Order: sequence, then C-alpha cells, then structure tokens
Amino acid sequence: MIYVNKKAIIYNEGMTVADAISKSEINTDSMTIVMVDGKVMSVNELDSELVDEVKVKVLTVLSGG
Amino acid sequence: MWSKLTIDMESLTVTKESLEEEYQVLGGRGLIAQYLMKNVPPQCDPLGNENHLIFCTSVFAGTKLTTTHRLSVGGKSPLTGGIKESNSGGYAAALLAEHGIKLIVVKNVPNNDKIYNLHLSPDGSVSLEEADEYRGVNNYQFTEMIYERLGNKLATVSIGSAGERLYKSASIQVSEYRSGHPSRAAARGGLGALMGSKGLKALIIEKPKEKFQVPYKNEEKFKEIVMKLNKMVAAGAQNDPFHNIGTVATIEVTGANGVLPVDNFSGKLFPDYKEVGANKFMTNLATRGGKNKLPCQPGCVMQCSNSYNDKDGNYITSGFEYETIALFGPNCHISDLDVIAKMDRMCDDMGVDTIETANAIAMCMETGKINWGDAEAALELMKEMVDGSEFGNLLGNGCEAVGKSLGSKRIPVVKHQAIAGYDPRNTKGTGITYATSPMGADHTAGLTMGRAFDDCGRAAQSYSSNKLQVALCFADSMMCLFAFSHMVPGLPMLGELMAAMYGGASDFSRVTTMGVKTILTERAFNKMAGMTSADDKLPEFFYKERSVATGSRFDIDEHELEVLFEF
Repeated sequence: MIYVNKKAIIYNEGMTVADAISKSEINTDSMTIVMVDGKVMSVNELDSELVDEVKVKVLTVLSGG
Repeated sequence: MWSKLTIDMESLTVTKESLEEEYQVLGGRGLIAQYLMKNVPPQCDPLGNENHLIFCTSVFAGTKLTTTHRLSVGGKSPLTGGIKESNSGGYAAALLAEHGIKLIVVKNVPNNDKIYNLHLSPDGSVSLEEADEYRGVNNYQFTEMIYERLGNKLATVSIGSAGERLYKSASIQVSEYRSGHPSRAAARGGLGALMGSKGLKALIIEKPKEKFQVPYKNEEKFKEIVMKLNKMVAAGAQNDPFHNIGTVATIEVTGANGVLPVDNFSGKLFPDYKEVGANKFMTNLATRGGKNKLPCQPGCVMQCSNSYNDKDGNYITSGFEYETIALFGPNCHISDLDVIAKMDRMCDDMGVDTIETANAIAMCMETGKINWGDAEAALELMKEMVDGSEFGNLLGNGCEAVGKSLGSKRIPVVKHQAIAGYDPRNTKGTGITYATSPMGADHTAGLTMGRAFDDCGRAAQSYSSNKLQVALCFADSMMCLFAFSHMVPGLPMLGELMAAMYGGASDFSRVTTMGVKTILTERAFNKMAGMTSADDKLPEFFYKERSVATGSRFDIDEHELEVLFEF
C-alpha cells in the first residue's frame, strides 16, 4: 500500500509519485508541494518511482508567508 | 464593554475608559482605518504631534476562535506617507484581551528626551514608567531584562535601536507565545519609527489576575460556530505546507516557476534555490535540535512557526519565514540558510523589517557597493545599521532611500515600500495588489497564487486581486490569514459569529461590507494625504523587462487599475 494524505492506494511496481497522486484523486496546482516520507519533492520530480509502504503528502500553499 | 487606553506622551498621562460604541464591534485593520480617518489629519507629519500610534486586538479577541489573537498596529506610515496597518502574532494581543482592552491610542510626543514603557500590571493598573535604562537596548536583550525583572508571565511589544533612531524601516517586535523571543513583528511601514517618535520603548503586558469576561450576545451559539470553524482550520492545516514545514516551503514552488525574486528582481532563475528550501531547512531543524509546528499565539492550530539553531545547536532565530529567506537569499544571490538566519536575527534584534532591509541590501549589490552574494559584506552593512553610522542610517530608511542614493534605476518599491518575495511578472494578480493596495507593496494584502487563480487568465487577475484585497481586509480584522485561507468554505458563518458576539445581522454581507468599507476608507485617507493614481503603479522596469524564466512582463495597463475599487 501507498498512503496519500492517509488514503490507502494499492501499490504497483513502477508506480510513480504522480501515479499515486492521480489514483488518490487529490487535485494539484502550481502551488502544490509533495512530500514522500518527509522529503519534499518538486513538481518536476513527480515521475520518480515509489517503493511500497511509503507515505505521500500532497500539500497546497493557500496563502503567502 | 471593551476598554480603551489613551496615552498622552506630552502630559505623560494614561486614561482608561470604555471604548466608544462605534468601535466595539470592530477590530484589527477595520478599526484602525476608521479610527485614523476620524482622528488623524492625513497630511500630518508621521513623526509629529498629530499622528497617533494605535495598537488594537481583533474583532473576536478574547475568544477561542483560532488565530484571532493578532496584534494590529496602525498610524500614518513614516515610510509610505499613507495609512498603515501592520499586524503580528505573538502573545500580546491575547493578554490585552484578558485585560479587557481592545484599543490603545498613543498621541502627542514628549517634550523631554526621556523614553518610557507602558506597563499593564497583574492587578489591572496601567502606568508609564521611565525607561532610560533601556535606551539603545535591542529587542532580545530588552526582553531578557524584563523577564529577569518581572518573570515570564507577560508579553512585550518593543522597539530596538532602529525605532529609537526613527529608521523608516523600523519594526515593532512582539514576544512569541511560550518561547518569549521577540521574533514576531509588525514589520511594515516604519511603525517602529512612529513608536520611537512617541518616546515609547515598549508595552509590557503582564497576565492579569482576573481575566476579562468577554461579552457575548449568544455565547452558546458563538461556541458552536467556533468549534466548527476551528475544526475546519485544523483539518486544513494537516495538508498545509506551512504547518508541516513552515512558510519556507513556498521556495519549492516559487523557485521552480520564476516567482522567486533573484538578484534584485532580475527575472532570472536561481539554480541553488533548494539550498535555501524546505529540505535543507527541515534537515537543519532535525539535526540541530530546532523545531517547527510551533504556535506563535495561544490557541493556534496552524502552528507554522519554528525555532532555528546553528550547527552547534545554539538558537539563532524563530519565526524564520519565506519572505526573509527569499529576499536575503536568492534576491541577494545568497544561498547559505545559516547566514540568512543570522540576518533575520539581526533584523528582529535591532527592530527592522526584513523585507525592506533585504531589498536595501540588494540595492547595494545592484549598484556595486558590495558584490552579489557577498554575505559577509552584507552582514557588515547591517552592523552599520545597528551602530548608527551615516550609511547605516541610510540603510535604515529602506530600499528606496538606498537605491536613490546609490543611483539605481531599478528600485523595487510601491508607495515607497519595498516589494515582497514574489516577482509580479509571474503572478500578475499579486502585482496588481502590490500596485493598488493602500498599504504599498504588500503580499499579505492579496497574493493571487494557487488553485483559485491558476486558470482564470490574465483578464481576470484584476478581479481576483480586488476580491482578495477586500477579503483580506476583513481577515486582517479577525484572524491570521493562514487560518483564514482554510476557513473559505465556512466564511458565511463569520456573519453568524459576529451576530452571536455583538448582536445584529448574521448575514455574510455584514462581513464583506466591513472589508469594502475598510479598503475604501484607507484609499480615501491616502488620497487626502496626497496620493494619486500615479502611486498605484509598479516600478517601470517590471513593465519593460521580461522575466528570463518565463518571458513575461507586467502588462496590466493603468486603466484596469484605475477602476479596481469602483464598487
């Protein structure tokens, strides 16, 4: 299983971060930040392959800091 | 009834009385706009006798609505020459509410050269105390001296040497909840100089023995709504990068999409942006005993604050935020997070706005006074600000003063106030906000980035900026904008919340009307102060120079901006 914002997604070999997010049906946009097991990934790194049991967090910046 | 304190610095008297009925239902930015319009001549000298320095709590101060304990500070800005409201987290607003005080007005200037602290004691008494022993003492040492004298059940709201020297970039620093560090700031617009001009070194607010009982019209209903709204924010925070990481997370998106300013808004990308990004920040926290997910005020569920240590595990700074990192970092071609943390600490300690100061340092680099990326030279210049040298004084007066003095043709200011950490060519709605906000170039007045704005196209950017500027007027009157952004689905409940607290109408238009009235009052104040539509414009180079990252330039024409606030 892959966990995207705590939602369980069935893991397939070769599954990328983008695949997992797509299966979770969580919307992303230009202000989305993705964390995989606590490490931040850029939008252009979302084709990285995942291993089973990782936790993915899809975070969206809603306002400026 | 909420109370008001009036501090007359000429007669050195303190008056406590019931707050006027018209201000009882207001708070924060909304209250400041109405108060200043009625009581301060817009054309007055910002550092003179006629200007007032205002401190106030929010519409829902004293309640359990999350993040409602913002401290708003207002007056005619020494930097912009227009109206100014700058708000801060920290512990002060919560303690003011416990004293039952919604508004503090500081008027006149002393006719001696002494400085004073305003002291709210646990028994509710209020006094002005001579504070000459604290003259020239910067904020960190000041708070330590106060904690040593009175214990730590208190909050401080203080100026450092920058405010005493009347630097136009001077901030007012507020002590953080729990840590007590003076790392929260009402930073923008030089309100620290206004406080310095009043001879006021600090507010010292001790926790009262008896807590003020907030008057509700319908307490049960109020608590029911607050529970729903707080749950909404807490749920949203779980997937908010500011909670999970901190505002530094924004570097990860702006660094990739060309919004992050680089080398004085050159429009270039910064290849090393990840050196000052989220992973570096989180690694440094984890390996050095730092922390994130800290609240800056009681009852905050966003918890976006942090405490940042050096390589040896010693505290450097807290409330280490995106703006500071973006503008001292890539915009000065500096990629060392530890150096930027030291700069943040220096700014908090002497009491200056990091946005204004970082842009002033970038001016020094742009004009060749120091080299791009020379962090040591930048720190030396900042030390001159602390020491009060001639050039230090110039730096203290902000980006425009430095840029003009050194002959720059690319000075990133609007209404004399430095632009925040978002390149307006690649977030045009934010550029419209910079240009038209009565506050000057201020990202917190309406940052149009993200899902709601991505697909609405160029033509709708003015509309987006307008709606957001109005919304943030009422957000700045009620709570932290980070929590507000998670409350969007529940916004209609804010009308019901006002009715449950104060009575009257419960529809949401009551709230939006407050926002519209606030921004129109602010614009009217600025007009009476002498500002015109020519002041609602970005610096010329954003219209002429294309962003290297995207090829975009700021192409929103003047006519679109002129009709922005015709409601």
